[in-house]
Parts: sequence; structure tokens; C-alpha cells
Amino acid sequence: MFVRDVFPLFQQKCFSCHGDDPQSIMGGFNMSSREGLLKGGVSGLPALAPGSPEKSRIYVAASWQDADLQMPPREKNRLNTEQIELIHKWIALGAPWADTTTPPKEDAWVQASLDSGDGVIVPTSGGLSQAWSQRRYQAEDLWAFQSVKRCPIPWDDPKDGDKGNPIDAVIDRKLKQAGIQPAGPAHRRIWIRRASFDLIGLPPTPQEIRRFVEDESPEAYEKVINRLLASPHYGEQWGRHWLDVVRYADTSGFANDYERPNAWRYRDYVIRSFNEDKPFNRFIIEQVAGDELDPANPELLIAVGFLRAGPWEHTAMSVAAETRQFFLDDVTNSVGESFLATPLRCARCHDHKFDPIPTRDYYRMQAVFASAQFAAADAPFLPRENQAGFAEGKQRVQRLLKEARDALAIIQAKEDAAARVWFEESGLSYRPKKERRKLPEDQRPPRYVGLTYQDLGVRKALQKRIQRLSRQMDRYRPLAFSVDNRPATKPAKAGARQAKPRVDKVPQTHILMGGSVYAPGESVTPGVLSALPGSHDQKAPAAFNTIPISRDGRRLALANWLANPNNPLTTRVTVNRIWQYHFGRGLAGNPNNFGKTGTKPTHPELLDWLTQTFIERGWSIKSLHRLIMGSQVYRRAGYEPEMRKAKEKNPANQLLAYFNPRRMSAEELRDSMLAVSGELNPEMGGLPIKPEINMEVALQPRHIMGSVAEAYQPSRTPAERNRRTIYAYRLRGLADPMLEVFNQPNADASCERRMASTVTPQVFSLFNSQNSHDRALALAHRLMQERDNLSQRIQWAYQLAYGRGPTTDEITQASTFFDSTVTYHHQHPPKQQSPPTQVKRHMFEEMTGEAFEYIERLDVYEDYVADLKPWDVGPQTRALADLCLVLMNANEFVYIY
Amino acid sequence: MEQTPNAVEDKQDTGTLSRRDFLFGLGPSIGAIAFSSLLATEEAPAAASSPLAPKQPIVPAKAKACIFLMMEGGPSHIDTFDPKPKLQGLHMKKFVRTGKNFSAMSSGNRYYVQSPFSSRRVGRSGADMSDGFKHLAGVADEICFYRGCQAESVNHPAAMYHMNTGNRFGGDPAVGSWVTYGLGTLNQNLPAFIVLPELAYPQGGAANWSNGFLPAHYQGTPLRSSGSPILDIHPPAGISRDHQRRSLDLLASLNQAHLEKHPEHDELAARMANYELAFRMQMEVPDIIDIDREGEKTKALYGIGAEGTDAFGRRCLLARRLVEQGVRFVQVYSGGWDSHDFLERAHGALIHSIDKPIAGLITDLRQRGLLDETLLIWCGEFGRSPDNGVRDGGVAYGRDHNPDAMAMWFAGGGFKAGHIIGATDDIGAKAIDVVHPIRDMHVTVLRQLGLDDNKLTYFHGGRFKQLSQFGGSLIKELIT
Repeated sequence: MFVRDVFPLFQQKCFSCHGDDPQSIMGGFNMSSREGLLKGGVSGLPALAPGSPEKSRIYVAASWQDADLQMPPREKNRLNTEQIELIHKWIALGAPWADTTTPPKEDAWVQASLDSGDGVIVPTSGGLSQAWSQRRYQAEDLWAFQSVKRCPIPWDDPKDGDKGNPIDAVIDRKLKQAGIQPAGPAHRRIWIRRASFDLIGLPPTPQEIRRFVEDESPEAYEKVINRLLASPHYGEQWGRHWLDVVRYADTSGFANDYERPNAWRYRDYVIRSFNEDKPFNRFIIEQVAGDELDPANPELLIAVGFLRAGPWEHTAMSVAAETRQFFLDDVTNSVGESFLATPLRCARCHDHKFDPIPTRDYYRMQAVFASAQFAAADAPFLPRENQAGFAEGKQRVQRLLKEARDALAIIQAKEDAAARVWFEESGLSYRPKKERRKLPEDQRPPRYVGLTYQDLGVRKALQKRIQRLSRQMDRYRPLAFSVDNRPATKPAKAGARQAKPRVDKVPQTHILMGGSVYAPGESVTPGVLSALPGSHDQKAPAAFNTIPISRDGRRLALANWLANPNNPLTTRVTVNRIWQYHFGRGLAGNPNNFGKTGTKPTHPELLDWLTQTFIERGWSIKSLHRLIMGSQVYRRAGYEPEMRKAKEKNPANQLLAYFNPRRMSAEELRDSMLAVSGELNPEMGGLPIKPEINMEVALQPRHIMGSVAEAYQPSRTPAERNRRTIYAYRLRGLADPMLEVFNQPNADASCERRMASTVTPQVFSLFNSQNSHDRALALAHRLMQERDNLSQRIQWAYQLAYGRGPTTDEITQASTFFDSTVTYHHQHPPKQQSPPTQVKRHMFEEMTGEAFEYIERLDVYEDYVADLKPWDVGPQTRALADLCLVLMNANEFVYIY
Repeated sequence: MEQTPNAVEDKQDTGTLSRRDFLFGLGPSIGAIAFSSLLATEEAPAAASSPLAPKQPIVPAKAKACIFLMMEGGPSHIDTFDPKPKLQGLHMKKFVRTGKNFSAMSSGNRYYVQSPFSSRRVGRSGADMSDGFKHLAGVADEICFYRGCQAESVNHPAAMYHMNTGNRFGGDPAVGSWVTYGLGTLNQNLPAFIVLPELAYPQGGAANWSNGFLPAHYQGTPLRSSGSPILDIHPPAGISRDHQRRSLDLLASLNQAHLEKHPEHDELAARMANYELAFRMQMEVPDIIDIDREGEKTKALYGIGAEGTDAFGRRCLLARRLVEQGVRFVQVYSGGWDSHDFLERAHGALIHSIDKPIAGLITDLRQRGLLDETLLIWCGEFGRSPDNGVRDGGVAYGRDHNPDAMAMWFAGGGFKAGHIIGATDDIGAKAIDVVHPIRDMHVTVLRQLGLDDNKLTYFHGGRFKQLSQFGGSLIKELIT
């Protein structure tokens, strides 16, 4: 209220005499700070008594109650009743003064241009060229840079304000203006399926549907929303949205695709944060500067893993300065994209072409991270972190390590034996390998003495394997994939935990000409995006836009700026994304791009109203869900034939006349199949699990630097692997083909909205894959167990898969299908198959080009517990499984209405 | 501009065809008619509105299809097509590196390394080829050699991403994705962009043929050299085609009923049609890629069945079959060119493995009249250095990575056959004539395929993106 209403009112009405210019303060009374108000003017009486409007002289003056004290003094400048009331309210609330707030003066230019229609010059930290700095912008292109404003809600009847939902008021007003009659409410069965998928990513159970459909209380909808928001699955679904934005993966990508053994702790931190409804501003601060906030709090050390979520690698071939710069560029852009919906990468080489973001700002922002170094921080496991499987996992890695080391020792021994022979034959005394390097070439055995190309190839593969397994041991250590500000200039090698401290000062950040690390230009100090209201000048050390130049505190200052209610980008971006995940598109169409080239908001006043409300409700995401999902707009039916006219008038349904259907996301699809088949293990968190993926892909050799990566082996038992997809091991270099084909984004680029393409390989994946057939069989088995005859089983299948009972025709159709397939299955008993326990690797040694082979043991398959298989069941179950496969492939299953 | 396939990211990527295009004929009975119409796709009602329907080129095209022969690991230009006799005199002499790429490759003692191979001039054009290229010499006059290209990264995956996607950091669409986005494809029953990898995927994995921010239709589809050619193209063992048809008929019927309840939900019809297309592909793809349908003479031409050349020969022949079937873009991998050591053995074996297959491919395309309308590209992700460092305490006859000079050639597609364009310095350390970055090569390749890099754009992340990232220039010297 203060920032939005009171302060501007002071600016407009009072500051010309009592604040703007210290040289011409009237009556010694300075209103530009709370101190000034408390102190009062020459009268010596305080002008403000927080909590007591009647005792506050500014209220008395403003309300013209006292003929001797009337401000503003001229009749025509007098405050109106609303304004007087505002001041009353503000003082009654204790006269909160937004600390560290700089008056959002820059808004003035926007307003001016809105009025005049001319382009405006936006004050910034300055472009590389004068011409850029003097560039004019159209105000409407700067909508997102302007302060959030509370617009009046267009109630049809002002009395509605007490009971109606402002969302409905705004949306319906626009529809009315367009002459469109919106759709009526969706059937409850449809609505609860929609709400369940939206909030927890899983279908409602038949019991949940029945309970809701039969609930006649006025709070029926609210109860469902509250139940879903309280479900721990909520954090899994909404955490996934955030992990898409930040590009979460369990490996680093590039040549080695090294494991990030502790990354999962960040994934769980995100899920926890959503479940706790952590205020989103706090969530931002923790991720950008958790370690600066409290380096002793493991949770916060885990949170800053955000800064390292992108792909990154440093190899022996890499140039240190380049890989460091790669990180800095990545983190700068990622902060811009994740929180500000402003891809800053554009400004790396030149001043932004469309938006008022000078290259200087890009590097000022980058300077914030100049002191941040990679760290594997000691962070004891928290009681709420799931440590299941630690003991077995560790034991396994140790066993594999030993096996690899033993195999390596045999080759080393062979080489050593040959060396001994050589020394003996040359009449020289034996020297161990370590000591040979310095000997002249004629006094030491030839390189690789005694080894065949086969040995050389295998040795290298083993060395690589040992290196990778050693990293895996870190999974079981209480470490956080983190950053800190300790001095170091050389990037930690991909394989190393942390670089040694080298230099004791924060490197100076320069503008890099053309983005090249070899072309440093002018130096810059840390800063924020200068075009935002109140962010232009560095006004005071405590100002909300000021970043200190000390080693510590840079990120915390940036985080506070990002998470400040005065930052119109962060706040709008957050709200817009939440809206988008509910309705399929944001109120501003491009959730990762709020600049000129993004789509203008369809309902700007609603976006701002929601943003204000979101801030007022303590940045609570859950309260935003309640608001949105409680609306009639969210309750609407999907497209119905009578909507034809609505569609002609707003083809993309931007006006939300009806509810847009959506296809399940990849994760929702896999999770739903598991849920419906009864196989889903709802256990939360912990080490990444490995679902079964296409076997050919799992065993596909995958080049890593100098070798091939180990085979992908699924988790050993169904309970371990049939967990929610968010817990699946996320390899940058190896996607689960089923998830990939259903548009799981690759983890190298931030994804703010999933695509939902319809492509042919989806059919292969959903209709032919082992995974789909296994889920169908498990569902069939469940039907057999839980129901007594075919008709009941068909009905139960429909209930589970679609949340409705079948029609009589559907039962007949399914029965006929069953009859014909059961005959087939009687005639075709399945052949039992077991997974391979080893795979032969046939490779070319990269340096010699010589072929070599080795056997990779697939140890997990040695005592593997398979899912239910066709040979475990009879022809009836198999025939029923065919029906289940069809049901899970049908459009009714994969679309949410 | 009207032909520019610009798209706006805001347009929800549903990749759907409108309901009108599909409603007709769909239902449980469609299975029967689907078979006969398999190869008649151009008349099929779907073709016109499919995201992969053939599109008009933006500029006059010199080739209809492209085969990109990608030598992963960084083949040495010095030991293949750009011999440096001067290195013989410098062999084993101390080398001092200067410059920006301060990494492991610039530390320790370094020395010059001569080529283990001799070289000669071949064809009427007198192209340089090391001795291992016995068959390629016979078609040298079809080839346009280019010595001026420079990469930027010294790391394999970054350089691979750069060559394949124009962006060193990956995540962007591959050349093949851009081309199919711009031109569509001629056969709606096969993927438009096909990749024939080695058994082992290259460093950086599938991101090398990713559709990046383009819709998923433009993703490269790897055809696997063993096992199932396309993942899950067949149902698990024990399910007959008839049995599957029965399931599909039930599915079609359920979907039909659902569609009637949701008549305006466009995606439904597209998804239904996909099941029928998949069912057809299931039968047709194995035939199309079955190279045993080729005559023995043709197979021999590619070195199929012979020691060392069989694997790559099969991929080259398959590439020709695919292009012949209307596939727009095929990328063929040869891996293992990273010879830091054992240069003679490793490069010797690799040169042998590609020599006959590529010569066979060029000959075969020519005799079928396809060479003119097919563009062949051969390159790695970077070249190799004229020097090497000490490895494992001993002298290693190999070469390090070199982004400043590399070998590259083109055939067909309006490139200047029988010419050598550009030059490297006298030790092969650096390109010095007609020097261009990778993006200019991309611009030139697009142009020959009928696409203008500046117009082939896609709106994403706040700007219109393009293969060259920020625009590039045509390498005029390379084209007729």
C-alpha cells in the first residue's frame, strides 16, 4: 500500500515543498523519510504517530479538520476523501515505510509517454553507444518494466466485490465486450480430473470422484482444492515445473556427462519448498544466496545448487578462463530467464536490440557472481531427506570399484612382468613404472610393453570406470552441490570436488567486447537491471538496487532486489507462470519473455491485480491456486459445439470462453499409467531411481571422453523403480525415449512451457513398448484380483482409467474384443524371457583405431525382480491386458479436459 | 517473405492437422485402405497441411536432399586432403605454441609430427589425397575441397554441437532440423531427417541431431545399425500383426466415439491418424532399410561384405536408399578420428573404412542421376595440429585438436566440383585463405538447398533465431 499508493501521493502532493530538494524544504519538515515524519518540522511536534491517525499531524493537516493546519494549503490541491482515507488507513496500520525503498521515479517517464504517444528514452546504466542510450521506446513495449498497478475490478454490481472472484469479473467483462457467451461449468467428474492433474499430476481415484460428485455442500470444490494442496504429491507436480525452468539434471552433460552425485538434494529441496508453500520471495533468495544467508544451514547450501543447474564441463582440453566464463554467462542468463523472464543472453555481445537492457547491465549483473565458486559443501543430511538405499547402494558401488580395480591390476601386472623381462634382457636393474619416466628412452622399456591393443583398450575403459564409480561414492556423503565465496580462480575439474584456493581477491568484472573473454573492455561494478523502476541510480548503500562490491553479500543483495515487491518483473513473471500452468497459456503469452518481442498480456489489469494480491498474501503460491481454481473461469467446461461462435471470435481462446484441453505431460503419462495399474510407489525423495527404459537404448554404447559410459541398468525391484518420474535419474546424455518423445524438454535449455506435439514415434512408444505392455498387464492383473467377472472388470477398468463407468455399448464392445483375443492367447502361450546379465562392448580404441572388446557385467540383472510378465499369468489376464493397453492409448486417457 | 516458414513460439506447438483433413475415412475400417495408399502420400489428404509437407524453397535450390558424412573425433586434414611436406623436415623438432587456447595441449614439450602417409595428386583436377584413398581418387573430380573453414572450440562435444547445430553449447536445432523445417520432406511415411550413427553414439549424444526449439517433427531420427531400426517399431514378441490390428480397430472405435463428443478438439484426429501411419511404417520401414534388397554388385561397390569397409559401407548405401525414397536429410557418422597417438594405424584404418564406401556412394548417386540433386558434405568437428605432446612419458605419433584448420569437402548440390578452395599455412596450423567460420559454411549449405539463412527463422526466446545464430555470409568461392 505504501509503495503503491501512499508514497506516490506524497510525491504528488507534498514533496514539492517537503522533500524533493533539501535546499528548499518548507518549515524544516522533510517527508521523504519516515524519520523526517516522526521528527516533524520547526514546530518540534512529530507529524506522525504510527497507529494513531487522529494524533498524527499529517492526517490532521490532510483532512483539514484544524483551520490552522491544512495541507496541502491550496484548495485546488486538497486531497479527496479517498486519499484522506488512505492516509488514515496507512497510519492506523502503523505507517509502514517500505525499508530500502527508492521511490520508483522512473515510472514517470513511462506515464509521460503513455500520455504523449511519443517514444520515451529510458534511463539506464548506459549503452555501449550514445545512440542506444538515447533510443526511444514505445511505452506499451515496456509494460512489464512498469510498476505493478492495482486496477479497479470491473464488478457488474459493486456489491459482488464481497462474494465474487475478481478473476471472473475481469474475464467475463472482456467476453461480454466481445459478445461471447462463455461455457457453463464442467461436469464435476471432469473438473476433479482437471484439478487433480493440475495440482498433483495424478488422476483422481474412483472413490475421490464419487465423494466429490455426491458432495452437496457449498464447499465441495474448496474441499477438493484443499485436499490436493495438502497432498505431498503437490510439491512433486509443481516442483517439476520449476525444475524445467532451472534445467535440473543429475549429470553435467558434454563429453563426460559426469554424474552430479548430490544434485538430487536440490530436487528434493524444491519439492519441499512447494509443499511447505514457502513464500516465493524467500524461495528466490535461498536459491540465489542461501549460503550467504546462513552458511551453517544445510538446506540453504543445497538451495544455491540452482546456480549450477546448467550443463558445464571442464576437461584437460578446456581453457580455464573460457569454462569459468561459460559458467558466468550461464548463471547470468539463467537468473534472467528464471526470475525475470528476460533472456539476458542477447545483451552479452551488444546492447539489447529491443529492450532497455544495456550490455553494461549484463556484466554488472554478472559481476554479482564474480565471487561465487563451485563448492561441494559439507551439508549434513536433514532428518526429512530420504536416505533409503544408501547402505545397499554404497555397498554395490564399492563392490563394482573393487572388481574394476582387480581387473585393472591384472593388466598392470602383465605390463610389469613384461617390463621385468625387458630390464633383465637389457641387463638393467628393474625400476617400477613411476620411476621410469625420467630415464632416457633407451634405458626403459617401450611404452605399453607386454600389452596388446585389447589390453590397452580395456585398461582405459577400466580407468574411466573407476573414475566414474569413485564419483558415485559421493552420493552417500553429506555434500551439497553448491557454491561459496571462497577464493579460487581455476574452475574445479569435472572430476574433482573443489579447486584449491589460489588467489585472494574477487576478480574484476569487465564488459567483454563481443562476449569474448579475450576482449575485456571497461570494468564494471556489480549491479541490477537499471531500467526497472527505482533501479536506475545507486542511491544509497541500503537502497534496494545497490549491490556491494565486497566479496560477500553480492548475491544476497541481488536476491533481495529480485524478490522485492517493487520488482515488477519477478512478481509478474511468477504469477503469470502459475496462471499458465492452470490454463495452458499465461496472461502474458511468453512466460520466459516479458520484453518487447514477447506477447502482450491479454488481461494486463488482471495480471497486475493477481500480482498485487500475491504479494499481499505473502508470496504464497498456494493462495494463488485457491484464488484461480476457485473461479468460475477455471470451472468452465471445455469446448462444446455451441461454442462455435466463441471460437470464431477468439480462435485461440485467449479470452477463456471455455477451458482449453491439454495432453498429459510425459511425466503425467508415465505416472498415471503406474497409478492406474496400481504399481505406483508413492515414496518421496532420495537418490534418483532408475525406471525401466527401452532396453536397446539402455544398453546402447554411449561415447564419453576416452571410453563408453556404463550401461543404464534399472533399479532392481519394482518398488524402487516404479516411483514418480520426477525421481528418475536425469541424464543429460541419455533421455528416456518414452519421456523424450512426449516432449520432456532436454535439460540444456530452460523450459517454461511444455510442448505437446503429436508425432508418430509416440505411437511406437505408447502402443508397442515393453513399458506400456507391462503397465497394461499390471492393470489387467489388478482387475482380475479386484473384480469377479468380465463385465465388472471392464467397468472397473473404465472407472480407473477414465473416472467414469462404461456405457452398455462399450461393455459389449470390450467383451467382444476380449472374446476374440482370449482365443488368440490360448493359442499363443508366451515364451519366457529374462534380461541379459552382461553386454559385450565392441569398440575402437580411440587413439589406435584398433578394435577391442570387453564384457560389461550387468550386475543388477543378476538378481533382478521383474515386473509382472505375460508368462506369469493366464490367457484371460493377457487378453484383458490387450484391452487395458487400448484404454491407456485412447485419447480419453491422454487428454485432460 | 511470404514463403518464409517463420513461426511464432506463441503458437502452441500441437503439430496437428485440422480435423477436416482426417475425419474422412477414419474409423475401424481404415486399416484396409491404409496399405494401398502407403506410397501415394503426395495425393493423401494429409500431405498439404502436415508440418512435414514439402514446401517451396525460399531461393532456387541446387539440391533436393543432403547426405552429411560426419567424421567424429576430428580427422586430420594434414593426413587426408591437405598434405604438408614441410613437416617432413621438421619432424620431431621442438614446437612452441602460442596463442589463446591455453590448455593441456599447450603445456609440456611439444614437437612437430610429419604425416605417416605419402600423398599424391589425383584426378584431372589434381586434388591432394593421401595414399590410403584408393577409390575416392577415382571420383576426385566430383569433389570440391575446402581448406578455409575454422571451428572455435577445442572440445569434441562443443565442436560437434557447433558443426551440427551452429551453437557450441548445444540445445539448438541441428542443420537437418532446420532443413526439414524449411523444406518439409517428400515421403510422409519416413522421418524427414534420419541419422545413421555408429553403434556408439557420439560425444554429446542425441543433442547432435536435436530439434532444439523447433517442433518435435523436425528431430533427427537415428536408424539403429543393430536391433530395432526405430525404437519400438515392433510390439513385444508374440504379438502378431493381425492381433495388433484387432487392438488398433478397437482403439480407433473408442477414439471415434470420443471424437464425436469433442468435435472441435483438433488434436484428436491427428493423434488417431498417427496410429494408422505407425501401423503402416511398421511394415514398410524394415523393407525400405533392408539393404539386402540391393544387388551384389551394388553392395560390392560400397565395400559391403569386405573387411574394414562393411559397416560404413552399409550406412552409405542406406543413405542412398533413404534419399531415393524422399528423405530430405541424412547424416552418416564415422567415429574414432581422435588420433592423439598411433596416427598411422588409426587414421590408416579409418581412411580405409570410408574410402570405398564414399567412392561407391558418389559413383552410385552419379549413375542413378541423383548426384546433381543431392548434396554431400564431408567433415569432422575440427582438424588436427601439426604437432603433438609427450604422452605417457614417451613420444606419441599423433596429433592434438586444431580448431584453426580442418578438412572439408562437398560433392553435388552446385558446389564447384574439381576445385580446391582456400588454403592453410605451410604446416597446416591455420587456415589463411578464404577463411570462414562454421556459420558461413552453414549459410552456404542452406543456400544450395534452397534456403536463405536470414529468412529461415523461428521465433524463440525473444528473437528470431537462425542456424547461423546471428547471420553469416555465403562462401561464394565454393559454389558455381
